[in-house]
Formats: sequence, structure tokens, C-alpha cells
Amino acid sequence: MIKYEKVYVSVEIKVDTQGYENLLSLEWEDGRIFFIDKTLSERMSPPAHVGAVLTKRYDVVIEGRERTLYRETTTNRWFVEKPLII
Amino acid sequence: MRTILHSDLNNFYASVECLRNPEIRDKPVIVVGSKEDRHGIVLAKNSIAKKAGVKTGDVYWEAAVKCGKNIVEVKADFSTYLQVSRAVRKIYEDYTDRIEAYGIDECWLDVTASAKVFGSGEEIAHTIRRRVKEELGLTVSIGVSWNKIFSKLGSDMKKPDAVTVITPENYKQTVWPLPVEELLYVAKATKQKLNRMGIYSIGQLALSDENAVAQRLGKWGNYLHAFANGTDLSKVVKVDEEQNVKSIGNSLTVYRDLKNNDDVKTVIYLLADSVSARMRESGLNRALTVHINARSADLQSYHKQGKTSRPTGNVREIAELAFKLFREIYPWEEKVRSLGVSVSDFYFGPEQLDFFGTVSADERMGNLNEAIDKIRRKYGNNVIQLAIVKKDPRLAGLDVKGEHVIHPYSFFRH
Repeated sequence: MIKYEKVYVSVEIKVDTQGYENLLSLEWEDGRIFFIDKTLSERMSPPAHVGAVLTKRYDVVIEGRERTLYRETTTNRWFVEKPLII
Repeated sequence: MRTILHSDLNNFYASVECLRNPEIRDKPVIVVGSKEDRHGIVLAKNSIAKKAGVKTGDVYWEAAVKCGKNIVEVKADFSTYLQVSRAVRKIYEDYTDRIEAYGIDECWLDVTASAKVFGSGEEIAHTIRRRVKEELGLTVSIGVSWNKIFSKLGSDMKKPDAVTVITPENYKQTVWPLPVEELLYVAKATKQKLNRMGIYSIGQLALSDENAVAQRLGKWGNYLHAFANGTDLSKVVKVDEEQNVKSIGNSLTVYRDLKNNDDVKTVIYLLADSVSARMRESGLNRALTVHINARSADLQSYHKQGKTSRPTGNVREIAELAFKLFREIYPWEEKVRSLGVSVSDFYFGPEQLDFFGTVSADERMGNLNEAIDKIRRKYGNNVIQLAIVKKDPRLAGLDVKGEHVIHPYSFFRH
């Protein structure tokens, strides 16, 4: 069975002169930095497995693989759903 | 013909709590207000608790008996509910600017004009329903009709996550068989009066003699007769957060239901005192309009506003007008559960003196208030209070100024 855990992460964002945000990288809980190659989409959407309200979902490509990040719009904290096999 | 939607967020507070904490989703969840002073009155529940028989207004232990030990009790977090409610409203705003909030979890939307752009009322309703679910993870049920009353009835018919359309062709089959107490404003006492006239369904009310109903119920009889026939013409009034900012108000759910005018007067004074202090704090010293909101024990809302005889920030003037308005609208069929007093239409111009008033009395009152404010800033809100409030020691112990409670407005707001 897979269980999901909510893990808050640091993200690096560049805001351009037009006010657009570009996601550059995220720092995993163990300190490793992963570069975000591309943001595929962003939209309001609740996470599938963990608790949160008013979240924005970002589908991104990290090292060639599709991953999903969430931003709590009320707190501006970012998190991922970390799968745990139990 | 108009196209009006009524959108109702299903089990709103409880749904937000389940989103925040998915582990409780499969258990009976109740959301309670302040535990200390009302012994945890149930403000909302999820569908599991509802199935177990929990009703809004139950005391915590009653709900616990009904649900067993699995029950999850969450304290209400109004600021989050308000944020979520605003996010839902943002979705509505993509389809119309004619949005009237009815409490925190219900809205009427007049989409008559936008139906040409976004499709029929039913199509818009489904789009909104889908978006609220996908974007926020909540479900709504929406009623679509040509008047506010039928659209509200429609939103109750199928839920959660559903759309019900009530048309001139089908309302006699869909609305008329419903029991008469489903109509807005038909509470227990009104229901009994109608029942005694042999009126049990909305259809029977619609077909009854309007004058006979009016004789029994007064002007409410005429309103209800129009409601039942779908001829209610009340407009969807733009009501948004902006309007709340333009007023200063306080409301309070008291630790016991208020059973007579004296009780109500005491609470109104308590609220007016806090409103007046907050007006002075905000530099909005004088207002022209006073509003009273009352909620009965069976959760019907009553609202009325009135003009002051002159711009005022005086506790007694606010309280007395609020009390007068209360007496005009409250039918006293049930005890009062909560009251709200607010002021709006702030006045910044030169003061025109009341012909019979005197300047010196006003000045004295101004000095008095200034002194009271100073004492309160230094020693706390409750160290100096109006004598009328002291009649009930538990009331005197409440610090209203901090409280923040959200209530639906009355249907007849103007």
C-alpha cells in the first residue's frame, strides 16, 4: 500500500519584469537541490492525497520526469506529496 | 424571463475541515463554535454525522451520543472559511457580477445577461459545479430558475455536486409537492398556522386565497403566497466583502437563548458599545445608518436597517435605534440565538445640530467616551461597562470586541 506524506520544500523562483514567475529549483528535505527544467501547467487544484486548502498545482519537469508541486495560496508555502510504501 | 442560480456549498465548514485533514473524511465530523460559552453548539457537520441524526444547533454531547466515540470535533475557523468562500466567489465572478451572498456558503447569481455568452443557466451551473470541484475540491449544489425562491429550493433538491432546474413547465411537479416549511421564512410557528388552515404543501399555499393567508400572517402572508407561485420579483443584489468594509459591526451568539425584549436590549447595548468604540478607533465617528441582525433559535435570520435622526456614534442612539428596528421585525415566535448590530454610511461633513439637542451634551458625551477609551486601552475592554450590561454577570464577562461571527443576512435586505 502507498501512503502519502506532505513534505514542505523550499523553492527558488525568478520573477521577471512582467511579473511572471519562473520556477527554477527546489530543495528537498535532505538538502539536495533539484533543477526544474520546465513548468508544464499551473492551476488551482487540491492535492490528491494530503490535506490542504486553496492550493495551486504546478506540473513541472525535473530531470526529465514529470513531478507535481503545490503552493498553499493562503500561506505561500510549497509542498510535495511524498509517496511511502508501507 | 430572468435566469437565477442559487449555489450552495455542501456541508461547507465540515468539507473545508475534511480537505484540510483527509484522515477524518470517513468519520462523523462536527464543527463547533466556542466551546466555553455555548458548550460546543454544532455549527456544521459532514454527511456521515448528518446520517447519524446530528442537526445544526445540537449541543456537542447530543451529537456525541448520536455518533458514538468515532466522532471528530473541530473548532470553527472562520477566517479560513471566509478565504475559501472568497475563492469560490472568484469562480462565480467569471460568469456574472450580479452576485448576492447569503451567509458564507450560499449565493444567488443573476446570469440573465451572461447566459448569451456562456450558454444556458443549466450549462453555466454545471460549469461552476465542475470548476468548484476541480479547483477547490469542494462540492456545490445549484438550483436554476427564474426567481430567487425557486432557485434556492432547487439547490436543496439534489445534493451534493448536482444541478436542479426548475422551469415554468415543471415547477408544479417539482416545487408544489414539497412541504410548505421548505419555503424560505416558513419556520415552525408559521408552519403551524398554515397547517391549521389546511395548507401543508407549497402547492396548497400557491392555490390558497391570498387574502385569507394575509389575514392570518399579515404581510408575510402576501410574501409567502408570491413565493409559492414563483412570482417573487426580488432582485439579486450585489453584496460583497467590499460592503462589509463599509460598515462596522459586531455580532454575538450568546451562551443562552434570549427570551424577551429585556434580554435583547441588554445584548444590543453590549454590541452597540463595542461598535461605538470601534468607530472611534477607525476614525469613522459618525454614521447615518444602523442595522440589526437577529437569528432565532431555529436559525431564521431577520435583518432591518434604519436611518439615524442625525449622524451619530453615540452608544445610546445606536442601541435605541437598533432595538426599535428589532421590535419592528422580530416576530417572537422563537427565542433569539444571536444578534448583530452594525453601522454604515459614515458621515464626514459638518455636523448639523438637532434642533432639540444641545452642543454641550454632545461635548460631554465626547469627553466621556474619550475617557472610557483611555481606561480600556490601559486596563482592558471589560473594566468599564454600561450598567445595563451588568444585569447579567455572564454577559458582562464577554469581550465582544474580539468576537467575530459570520451570519447570513436576511432575504429582505432593503
